[in-house]
Amino acid sequence: MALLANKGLANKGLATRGLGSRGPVRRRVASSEHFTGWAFVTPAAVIIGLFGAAPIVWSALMSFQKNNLLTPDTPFVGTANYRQLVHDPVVAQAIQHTLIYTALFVPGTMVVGLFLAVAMNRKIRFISLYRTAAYATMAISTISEAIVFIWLFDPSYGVVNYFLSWFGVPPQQFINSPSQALYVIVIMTIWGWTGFAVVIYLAALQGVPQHLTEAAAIDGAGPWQAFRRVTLPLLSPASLFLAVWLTINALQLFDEVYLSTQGGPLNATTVLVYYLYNQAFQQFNFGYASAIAYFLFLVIIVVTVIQFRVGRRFTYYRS
Amino acid sequence: MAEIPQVVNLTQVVERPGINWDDFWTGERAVATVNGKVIGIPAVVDNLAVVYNKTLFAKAGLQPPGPGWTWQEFVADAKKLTNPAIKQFGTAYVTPGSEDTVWHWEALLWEAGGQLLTADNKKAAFDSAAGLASLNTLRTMAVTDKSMYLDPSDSAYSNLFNSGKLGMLVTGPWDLSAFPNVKYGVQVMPSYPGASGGHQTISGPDNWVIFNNSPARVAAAEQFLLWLTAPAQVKYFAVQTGNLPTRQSVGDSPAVSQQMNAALPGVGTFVANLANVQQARPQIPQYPKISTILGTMIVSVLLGKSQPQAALTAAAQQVDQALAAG
Repeated sequence: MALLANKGLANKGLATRGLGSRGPVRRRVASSEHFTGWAFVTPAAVIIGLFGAAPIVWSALMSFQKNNLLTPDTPFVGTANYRQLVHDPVVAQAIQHTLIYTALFVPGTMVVGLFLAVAMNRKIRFISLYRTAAYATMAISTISEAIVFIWLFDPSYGVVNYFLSWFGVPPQQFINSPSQALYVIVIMTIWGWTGFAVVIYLAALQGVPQHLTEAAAIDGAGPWQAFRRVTLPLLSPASLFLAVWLTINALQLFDEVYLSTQGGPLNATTVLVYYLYNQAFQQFNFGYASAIAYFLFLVIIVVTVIQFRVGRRFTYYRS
Repeated sequence: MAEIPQVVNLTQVVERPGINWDDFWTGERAVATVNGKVIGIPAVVDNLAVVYNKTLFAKAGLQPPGPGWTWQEFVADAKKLTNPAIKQFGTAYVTPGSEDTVWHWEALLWEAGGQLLTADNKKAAFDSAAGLASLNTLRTMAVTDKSMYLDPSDSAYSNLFNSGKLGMLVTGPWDLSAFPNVKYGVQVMPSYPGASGGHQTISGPDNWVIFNNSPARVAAAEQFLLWLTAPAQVKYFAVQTGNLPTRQSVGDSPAVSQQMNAALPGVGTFVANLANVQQARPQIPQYPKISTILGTMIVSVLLGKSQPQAALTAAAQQVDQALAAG
């Protein structure tokens, strides 16, 4: 890539030199530059257009249709899909589950990530091994993660119930229990995303100037005070980024649910995207599913805007 | 599928001389025919039977199940095969609430003499004595005896059976190759004595379907499919892959059964069991919606969250609504 960029610059240099000397030459160089530019951009643009932009427009259209993607008969139904959404009790449940999940997952991942990042932000032996181990959770495929957690939390054979029995806790039903399954998914995904939070926080911690914490120490601040008053505010841009990024992902939770509980037991882990998938690919209500997707899209925009507005007040950028 | 105009109507094709349409199993023909129109030719077929662990049966001092066994015997065996101390269960049931949850129960419903919907597919018919009997059978094992391992992931059960932790499994031939570590036997589904259903099972056949892209291509596709699904090819495919033969004449051949059994022990029972596929699930566009309702009904009973009769009544009401909505 660097090579290509340099080449582009060289071309630009040529074009600039040609400027004013002979008009036609300059135009020819400029147009060939245009051609090269478009040639580089076109494959990616076509792919993004075909698999990104086109489905976005098409699903917007479908959200106003009754459409099963099989038969050619796709009548427009106006806002019927959106009205159905308001009255669908499963949508209400799914919204509730999505919000509970997000409210636990986002702060949970950030706290665990920050803790591990601080613990690993020092020069000790095997530190790169620890850092690699922490990030490995990001590299592991979701399906392996889900299979391992299904067994960890298995009511009969799971090692979690075995550990709990040491403390006299009776065996829990976990993913067989409508009141516990969602929390198992929270734990599973916090584990899976911690590596990401660790990397972001580690990078941010490297950017905290040592002289500031040293100055705080000289002024009589204890380690906790220095962390609370100096380090944490300096990490706020990273925190805002993580909060926004993790929230967007949390609102779109799907893989872990699909692989472990399939929305059950009794809809206890049915989140918005899982319900959308169910409506589209199991019930073949693509119109209704598109309406749910656009509803979620709106929710994500609103939540993100609020996060940025509120976050700006607590975020400190060093100039 | 039947609603797609490009799907070719094969009714006349399968009636051509030499095709012998009736040689395909009843359950296959029922699924390939929608509103009297044949839209597919059977490609792959399966069914449910009971796979049991011979070693665990011997250890528990139980006779292996015979072909005439009943659900009462199944429940009693499951109880004796259960030992919480070593985390051993009599049987398992998949509980994601999906169609996999539902079709296991539908076989019991039919055996108890019940029907899912009325003959005209306009109303629910499972809120019946048969529906209650079938749900009670499952509830006894899951809730009362705790002899049934509930598997919401739909994937743990096969590992558990292969680890010798489950006595019996109601499953299909596709799982047999996942059990190399245990000595297993296969028996047909138990029956409900006194009920009209006898020994039945359920099948989820897949069909070859032709899309109309031009008359020449349709003709070529028809010719190819008729060759592919002719007895010689069906036999070759079954023996080589262990997939059940889609034609009865092939399935009835003792040589085919022997060859298949040699490659994959127990598969012969699944072949013979194809004759017990007497019914098919309703071929209506509302079925996915109905399946969701039934999945919730079954899981809520198995988790002990509702009583069988209350669950049946509630589900029947919802199914009636779904059917009325169209």
